[in-house]
Amino acid sequence: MPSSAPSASSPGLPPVPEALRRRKRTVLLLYGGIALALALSAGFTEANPLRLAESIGKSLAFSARFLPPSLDLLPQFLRSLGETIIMGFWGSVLATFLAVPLAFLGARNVVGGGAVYYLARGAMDVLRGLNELVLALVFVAALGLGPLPGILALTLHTAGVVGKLLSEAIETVDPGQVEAVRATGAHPLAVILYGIWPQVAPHFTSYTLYHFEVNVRSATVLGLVGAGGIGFDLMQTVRSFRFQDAATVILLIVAAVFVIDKLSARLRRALV
Amino acid sequence: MELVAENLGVRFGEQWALRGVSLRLFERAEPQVVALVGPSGAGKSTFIRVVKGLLAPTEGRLRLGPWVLPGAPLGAVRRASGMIFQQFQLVERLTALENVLLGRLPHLSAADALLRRFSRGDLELARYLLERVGMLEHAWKRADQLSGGQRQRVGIARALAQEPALILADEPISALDPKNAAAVMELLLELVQERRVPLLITLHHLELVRAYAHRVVAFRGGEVFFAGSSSAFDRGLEQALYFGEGSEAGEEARLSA
Repeated sequence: MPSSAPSASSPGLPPVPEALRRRKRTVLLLYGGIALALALSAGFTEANPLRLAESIGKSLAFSARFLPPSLDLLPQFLRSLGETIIMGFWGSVLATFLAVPLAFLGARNVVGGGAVYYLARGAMDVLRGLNELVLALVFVAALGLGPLPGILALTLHTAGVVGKLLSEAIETVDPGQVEAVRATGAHPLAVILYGIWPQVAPHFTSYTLYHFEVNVRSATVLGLVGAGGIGFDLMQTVRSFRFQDAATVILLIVAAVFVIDKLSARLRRALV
Repeated sequence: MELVAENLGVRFGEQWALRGVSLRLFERAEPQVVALVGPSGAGKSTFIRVVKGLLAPTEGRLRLGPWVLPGAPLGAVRRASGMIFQQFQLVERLTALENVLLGRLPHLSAADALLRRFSRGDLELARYLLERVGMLEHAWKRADQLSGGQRQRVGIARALAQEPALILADEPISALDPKNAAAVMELLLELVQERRVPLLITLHHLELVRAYAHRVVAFRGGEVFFAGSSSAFDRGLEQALYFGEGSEAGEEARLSA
């Protein structure tokens, strides 16, 4: 790559180290590879720029059929929206009860690096790795339609995510403060409550509130697989080509997510 | 509370931080002040941490009153002594009052501790100590809002709230400016006298050691260099301790380890 590497005739500079040359070569190869992959796969997925532009046009034309939004079924949709928010709320609260003990058991500075640590970390990784939509599919199959499978799916997935974040926060607390409480001879659980908890409480509040927002958004999607809430209405209206009703549902979802984001952000600022 | 070390040794990896330490301290009934002196890395803090039950001896034994380490229950050993730290080590997001109450935790049952059920007596003691260290008006301030001198005052109150049989202070004033250092030192000495608690303190200020300590234990290179009355710890010994033969070499070996 003669163009990217300054030549040896650069005035007064030492020669470019081999490691740096190799890095530049790797970056160039990477971008080249991405460009090549796009070109090769364009025919396969029809994702070429022309087709994309065309489909955007089609979608815009189609979206006219959503207007104006119909208010006929508003009371039903509002009720479903309430169900969705409740799913997100319950999922978040139940997840907290799982996440807090898991987080402490999965923190090296609390339990050491033994079997308990790896079990807790492993459990959280599995829960985190299972997408809530996948979990909801399983629970709907097992328990039938309705919000309960959705709540369970959100609970398990969120417990993994919040537990993992919280355990990492626990591992970065100031050990001096914990040591001082331990040095009094206090019970080990009291050391956690008075030495560690005050340090991680702000993180805990922040993660929990943030995941309440995330869960309300996720809960709308869970309805698509039959786990209750407003997502279920969205699926029904679209499938039966009642696009003006679907528009109302979509607007309601956007409004609810917006309001909850704002409220939760304000609450986090006030508490943390 | 008598403190007896028998051939005590602590090893970190390959390096002995303490070795062959045999001492008998606080054998008299009246509360004494014992100063630990010596260059950085000589083993003073290591010794304090073993007494506190935060560090297990690699060899030898340490007896604090009825408790013998290794072997004694660590909760009981830690309850026996109160600790004042160089970097204060207050729980930053708790109030000054709560930090003082931490000293009461080992006296509560586990259930009471977890439910924050402090007794009226606990609160009265905390209030009294906060007043004595001049921090009563700041009782409801969070520790992270206090200055260094104020934090160490709370640290002293926390150690005393434990009603310990011995106070350990690990360079309690070396993080403070000279004015605060003098005031906090004076307060500490006044309070241990008033509450009749013996004090084991590491100090770099040898004029303070001569003025206030009854006994001096000097460490060098992890071993006891001198142990005796503070009046016997003269300038000659001080010179030998900090600049004497082998002290440089010993220091370098420890720092490079």
